[in-house]
Formats: sequence, C-alpha cells, structure tokens
Amino acid sequence: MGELTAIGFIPGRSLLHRLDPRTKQMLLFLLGGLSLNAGVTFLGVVTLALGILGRSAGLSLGRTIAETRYFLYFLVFVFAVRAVSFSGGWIPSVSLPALVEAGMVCWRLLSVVLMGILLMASTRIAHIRAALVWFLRPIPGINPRMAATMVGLVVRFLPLILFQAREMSDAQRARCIDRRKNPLVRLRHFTIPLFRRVFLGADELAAAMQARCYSNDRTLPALAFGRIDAVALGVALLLAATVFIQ
Amino acid sequence: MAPIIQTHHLTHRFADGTLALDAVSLDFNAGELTVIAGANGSGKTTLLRHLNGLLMAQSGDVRVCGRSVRDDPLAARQAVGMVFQDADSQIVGETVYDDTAFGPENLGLDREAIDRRVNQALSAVDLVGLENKRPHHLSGGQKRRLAIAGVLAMQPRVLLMDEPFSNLDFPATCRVLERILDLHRQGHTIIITTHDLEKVIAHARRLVVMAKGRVVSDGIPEAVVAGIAQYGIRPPCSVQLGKGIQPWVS
Amino acid sequence: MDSSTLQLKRMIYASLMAALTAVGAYIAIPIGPVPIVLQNLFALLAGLLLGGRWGVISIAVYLLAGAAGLPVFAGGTGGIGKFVGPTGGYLFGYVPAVYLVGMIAEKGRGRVAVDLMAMLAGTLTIYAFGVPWLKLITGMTWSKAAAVGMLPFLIGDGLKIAVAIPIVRALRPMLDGLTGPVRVAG
Repeated sequence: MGELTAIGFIPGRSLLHRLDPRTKQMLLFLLGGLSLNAGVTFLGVVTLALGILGRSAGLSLGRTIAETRYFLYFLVFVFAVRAVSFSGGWIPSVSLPALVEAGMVCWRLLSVVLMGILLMASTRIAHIRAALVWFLRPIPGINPRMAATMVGLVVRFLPLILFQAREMSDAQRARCIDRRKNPLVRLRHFTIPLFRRVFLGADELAAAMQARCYSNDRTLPALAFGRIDAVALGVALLLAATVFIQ
Repeated sequence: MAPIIQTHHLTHRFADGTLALDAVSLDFNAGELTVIAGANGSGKTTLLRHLNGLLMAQSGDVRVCGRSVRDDPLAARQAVGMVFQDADSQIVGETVYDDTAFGPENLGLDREAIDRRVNQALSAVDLVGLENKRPHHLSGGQKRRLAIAGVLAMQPRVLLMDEPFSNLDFPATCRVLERILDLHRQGHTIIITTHDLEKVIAHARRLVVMAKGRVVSDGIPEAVVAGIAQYGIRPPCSVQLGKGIQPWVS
Repeated sequence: MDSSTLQLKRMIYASLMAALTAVGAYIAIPIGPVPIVLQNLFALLAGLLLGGRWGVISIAVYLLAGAAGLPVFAGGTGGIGKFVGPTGGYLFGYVPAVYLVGMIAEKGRGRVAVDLMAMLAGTLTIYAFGVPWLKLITGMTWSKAAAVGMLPFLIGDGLKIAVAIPIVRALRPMLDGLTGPVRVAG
C-alpha cells in the first residue's frame, strides 16, 4: 500500500509465490489459530519455516522489523504488563516463570503477524480478492463478488484518501491550525472537509464504473490448486496434529 | 455512411431548474476528430454523459450506431468509451493491470481474451512494463494514459475525452496528445471537450462551440475560431498573432 | 435515478467509508499528551451516516479486507492474526456497535439527542467486546484489562462523541443530495 507499508507484493517465483492464495489463507487460519496456545516446539518449527520461506520470497529481516515497529512497541508493552506483577502491594516484582510466560505470549503474537506479512509479500491483491470470493461463496446472504469488488475499492482508495488527508492537514497547518487549542475544533476541521471530498469523488467514481459497464458478473482471476498446495496443506495438518499429541 | 452518434433536440434540465442542454442536435461521423469547446458550465460534460448513457435524455434522443441509447445503454457504453477529467476518480483497479482489465472483466470475457486486450491497450498508451505498479504511484501523465488504456481495453468505436490535458505538464501533454493522434490515425472516432483550444485544435477537422447549453457555432476550425472569444474561450496564440492555426506538437 | 445506479452508489459509499475507517487507523491527531486515533470514530460514523444495514456492510468490508491480509488495521498491519490477537475483540465489537448506532440513528431522524445516544451506545458496545477479549487472550485480571484497554481512551472517546454530532449534521444533507438527482459540472 505504497508509503503506508513498504511490504506489499514482491514479484517472484518462490515456493510461497507458487502456492494457491486459498492454500495460503487456509495455512494462515490453521497455523495462526494454533500458534496462540502452542508450545515451544511448535512455535520453533513455525518460526523457522517462516524465516526460510520469507527469505526465499525476497523479504529482508531489516525491512520486516522496520515495518512492524509499531507492533513491536506493542509487544514490549504486553511483555512488561505480563512480566511485572504488583502482588505484594506497590512494589513491582518480577519472577522467572512470569518472564517465560510473558515471552511465550509475545512470541505467539509475533509469529501470527509474520504470517500475515508473508501472505501480503507473496500474493497479488487480485488473487487475494479472488480467494475471498471463493471462501465467501458458501456463506448464505452474502454476494461474494460484490464483497470482493468493495474490498478492491478499499485497497484502491486507501492510499488516495490518505494522500488527500495529508494534503489537507498540511494546508490547514499552513494557515496555523496549530494555534487552535480546542481539540473539538481541530477534529471538526479535519474530518468534515475530508469526508466531503471523499464522498463527492464517489459520485464521479460511480459514473466512471458505469461507463465501463460495471456489473457483478465479472471475470475473476483464475486460481489453480496444484500438487504443491496439497503437499503444503498436508505438512501443515501434520504439524497441527503434533500440538494435540503433546 | 450514417453518423456513428446522433443527438436530436437533446434537452436536459438539472434538478435545481438550470437548463444544462437546450435542444442540442449534432451528428458525429466515424473516424472524425471533433473538438467541443466551451467555458465552464456550458454543458460540455453533460453532453458527453448523454452520449454513453450515463445520463438519459429528458427530451430528445441520442442514437449510437443507429440504436437509441435509452433502449440499450450497455451497448452504448461499450461502443462509446469515456475518459473522465479527473483520472484519480476514474481509476478503479489496485494495479495498472487490474484497472485496465476492469472493463473487459465486466464484459465477462475469459482470462486469455482479457490479457490480450490489456496488452494491446497498455502498448497503445506506452505503459507496458508497469502492470504491477499501483496507480497511486504513477505520474499525472501516466495516470491519464492509464485512464485511456482502461477505456481502450473495452475496444470502443468512439472515444470521448473530457479535458484530457488538464493538470498535465508540457512533456506529459505532448505524450498524451501523440497517443490520441495515433488512435485517431488508426481509425478511432474521437470527441474531445476542452476550454483550452491551444493544444489540440490544429489536429481537428471540426470545432463545435457551446455556450449556456446550446450549440452556438459548428464547422471547420479555421472558420469557427475567429469569433470564439465572445463565448469565453481564448483563441489559440497563433491565431491571435495572425498566423492562423499552428500545430502544438510537430 | 434507477435502482441499479442507487445500489452502485450505496456500495461505493460503503466502500469509501471502509477506506476512511482504514485511514482513521493510520492517522493520529496530536491533541494533548495522548494522540487520538480516529479509527473508532470513523467506524461509528459509518453507522450514523449510512444507517444500520449499509453501515454494517461497510464495517464488514473493512474487517474482510483486514482478514484477507491487507494492511488496514492500526499501525499498518492486517491479517487474521489481528482477530485472534489481543485487540481482536475491539474489531469484532465494531459490527454490533455500528449496527446499533445505525439503527438508533435511523429512528432519530437527525435529532441531536438520539445521535448522541447512538454514539454512546456504540462506544460502550466496542468496549463490551474488546475488554473481555483482551483479558481472555493476555490472561490479565479484569482490573488490569480495563486499566490497559479502556481507561486511557475514555477522554478521547468523549471528544469523539462530541465531535461526531457536528460532523453528521454537516455531512448528512450532502449525502442525501448525492443519492438524489445527478448534477454534473461543465
């Protein structure tokens, strides 16, 4: 998503790139869900696999850290809250078991976030959207193609709106909005023009989509579930089984 | 040969009562490059939006390839592609490929045909190699050309362009203009609206002037351009200097 | 305007509202010591502006985009991990909260007191889902979970509720106008 996060799609032909997007999302669900109450062995295997796959998909460690830094701050916070206890009155106390437990919680959360980053790096947005349609199809009451189109519009307009928001806030700062101390005034001056601009653009967008014959019956990107997908799912299921055996 | 687009006494009134189009009757022939000039609010954009069924005639009639737009707006939109003034609000796709494929995907074509059309359209506007780029990261001129590609991929017979040169710098204007002239040479019917005649008028064989929702002048540019200032349009510099109409790019 | 055009417009509004919610997750307005993140304000505004049904569709699209792995959540993250993570409850909570806000606001037909009540109910609903989830996932005690996951944000929430009123009063007439007859320039 441009300047928002540099970790968008990285073109390539690595193992992750060749997997069907549906497989990747299923893996994310399965392993992500299990990671949240997994032990050291499971987390170790998953983290190692994530590292190797990420490397081959062209993701560098430095960039990953830079991009997840807000999340890392949050992890530090969670770690501190979990590790320090005030059981004996107002004096904080730290015990080894509490430290270990806090570390495990953070490791679990981190591995889940890393999975999400790998998915983004190795999958085209159009394919994520097509997979979404496939997953939503069996759910009654939802028009999967419409949902997919709407998600596509979010992706398309997020950077544009963010750009407009920055431009607007710069223009207001140029007219010394910083001198207004009342937060309500500042929130109003930020939100109302932004929404107005976005919704007026919506009108034009509707016309542009109609001009190109918009319909819900659209051709979707072709997805192919191949042998490597079956193998990957099999390995993941085996890995999942080890959690229950322990 | 019958005109490819015909409007007959086309009239449109906005909800607030303003008369946007007042009995406009125009014929556009296949293969022509026409410029519609007019000041802001003269009804140019409203007229364009009637030609592909985005707006429906309140009275009067619009025919595309002989068929009434009211009867079959979808066919009209397929035959008449429209490039909007603001490329940012027109581009729908998350990547250059996705956006160019948006139209053909709406038509329900199979993937192979879509890929072929996307390739053709992108090479027609010189954007090959940028398929995976996000539209937000393109320059203004590239965005405008992508907007054109998105319409070309529908394989329309007529291209409507609303102020195609607004907000472009000099090199970008030249490139967009060159691509438009290429498309014209390949036989596309092109209708351009503008309030800035300078860039395109030398290449058109017909100039229509609108004011307050009416067609006030219509003919070959050399004849029409003389009295144009009274309608709020600046005559090209070369005309003001007494040198006649000169091309903007060589 | 025919029904398919109206449907397309509503769909685009809901998508743009979802995109605005995502933008709200990125933008913090520096007010006082704690910057105010606008995500939950924008999410609840979806209910106020679009009503219950389309408000929920909008927030569902936002969550769906996040679930599919797109970076629409706070700090530029996304993915299913956010839902099972410690702050997942706040995300789930948006759905009933926005629905509640939309339904109450629709009943009120623009009366300020009703809009205020709707925003209040929506804000509380988000915490009603967020705080227990935080406690469950991180294993904190109730008081710790509330101290970390609710108290620091209450002042900001008050401001957001207060500002939501003039915002909807300014924007509602425009939205109603846009779904009415079309007017184009030029």
